[in-house]
Amino acid sequence: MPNIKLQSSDNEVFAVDIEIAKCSVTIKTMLEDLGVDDEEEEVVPLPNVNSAILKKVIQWATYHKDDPPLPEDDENKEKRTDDISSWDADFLKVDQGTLFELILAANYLDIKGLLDVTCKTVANMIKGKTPDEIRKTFNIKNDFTAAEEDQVRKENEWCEEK
Amino acid sequence: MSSVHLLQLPPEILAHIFMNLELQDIRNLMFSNKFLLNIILTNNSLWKSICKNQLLVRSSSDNRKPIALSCYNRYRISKNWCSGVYRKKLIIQHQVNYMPWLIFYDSEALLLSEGSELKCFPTDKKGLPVCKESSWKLESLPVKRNDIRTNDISRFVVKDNLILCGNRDGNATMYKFDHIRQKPTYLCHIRDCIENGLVEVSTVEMITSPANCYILTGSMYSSNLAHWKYEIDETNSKVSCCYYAVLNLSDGVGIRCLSVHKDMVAIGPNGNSKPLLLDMNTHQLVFSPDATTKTRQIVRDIRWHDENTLLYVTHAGKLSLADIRSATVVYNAMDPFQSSMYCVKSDGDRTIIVGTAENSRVVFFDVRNNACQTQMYFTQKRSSPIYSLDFDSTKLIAAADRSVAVLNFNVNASSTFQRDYSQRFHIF
Repeated sequence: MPNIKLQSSDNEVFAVDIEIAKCSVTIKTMLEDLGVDDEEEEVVPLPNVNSAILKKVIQWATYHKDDPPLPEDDENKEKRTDDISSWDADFLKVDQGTLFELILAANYLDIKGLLDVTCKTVANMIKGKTPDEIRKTFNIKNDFTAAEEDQVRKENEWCEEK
Repeated sequence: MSSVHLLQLPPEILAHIFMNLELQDIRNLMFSNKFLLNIILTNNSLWKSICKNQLLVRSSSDNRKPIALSCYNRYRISKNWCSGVYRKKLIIQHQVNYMPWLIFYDSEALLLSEGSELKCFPTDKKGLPVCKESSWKLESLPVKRNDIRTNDISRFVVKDNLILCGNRDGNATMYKFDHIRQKPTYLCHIRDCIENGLVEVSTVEMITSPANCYILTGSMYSSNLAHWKYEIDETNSKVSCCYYAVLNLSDGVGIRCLSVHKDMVAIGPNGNSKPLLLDMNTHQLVFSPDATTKTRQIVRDIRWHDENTLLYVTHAGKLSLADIRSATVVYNAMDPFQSSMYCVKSDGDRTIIVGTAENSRVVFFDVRNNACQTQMYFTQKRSSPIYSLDFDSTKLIAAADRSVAVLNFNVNASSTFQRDYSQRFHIF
């Protein structure tokens, strides 16, 4: 299988199977636009992704290389966040900073499967938590004054019931 | 290497994350931080995704101007519709009883018939009609009759800058306007519309397609539907109007209400509980009346819900939505108190609002949900039918015999007294 070379922001170069690299729509379009021949060994610079994250992304893409293509987003599809595979769950047992960087990388590289699963992981960290617990989990400051908080709560009382 | 924080993620990624959550969790996020609150409030696709199963009230089909609101606000206000949270304001009160007809024209003006007068009340910045003084009024021409009939307006329609009024004394009048807030100019007066003027004009309609320009008049006391062909001379704003034809529906069947979509005329009959459908290209009835006519059965109001479905309400208190392609009823509901239904309007999507005969009560139905969603709104204390109503996505205007009320649903749920009837009036 031909390889492609991906260069991270901190100038580390990774040799990756071209089919695996193409799970990133960004890389795929880049290769098509440049008309790069599969035979040639080009170095693709990825200035938005550092080597630690790029390594993780490649690891994820390698594991999922034989996955069937994801179905198009369906408006009426039921929202689920409990369908994360155990491999993905293990893979994403990382600190918050890494998780967010993976999201940013998945977004930049346009890898829908990785973006979905990382976003779901963050969503699961929010689910069922009180505002205070959310703030604690993500180290967010409560910047409401008591009066503002009261106002916001009143305005959004309609969200309470189903 | 600095670590990335949740709030450093771009808004579209945060929205992508939040789309996986339920309303309850979104609420908790909004309460946690101002930055998150702002991102959530302004993201329309997020609200569309979270509230996709919730009913969204649009404007009625007579009121074509959508109101500019963020998705968050649209869902918040729709939720108020569903749980009966509103602020009521009586905008007009009378000393005498009328049978008013009203149209909330493009949220710009409220057109209201009071006896023989048609009045226009413009809306203020908040979109509420200001009723201290009308911006114009039209009085229907008095015609001398040897009976007690007055020249009261029974119904009127507004279409393509034309207003057509049907009067109880058996005549009809057409006006033209440039802007709804400016006084319309008189175009023509049609005398003795049906049965040589012996019966009232109960309902009127217009067909304004380029090929066919017709005025239709019907009376509940006659089975003849009269048509006039009209032509407007744009240069000097004159109309030529000539008697065209009369269609006899079936003996014993009167015409209570009409509604036109393109060249199709839906007819709500007196003495029959099924609507009739007339194709103006062929002048043939697509749906014919039932052979058995029962005088107690009346279709009180009829309206096109969308291009293929007809919405109608009956004297017996039944609301039906019929698909004209298959001639089958696709949705029906009864009034929870089994009272008569007088008028109906829909937003062409899921919301249907019906005015009933008693207690000045308006009933709200969700067309995609047969089992529930029946809310009640009361517009005046004194018991009266609701003769007509109209709505946009934030407010409902309903006319009873002595008052016209606006129910404003763009209110803060916590500071308003809640009238939640949704639990009490589920229909099974």
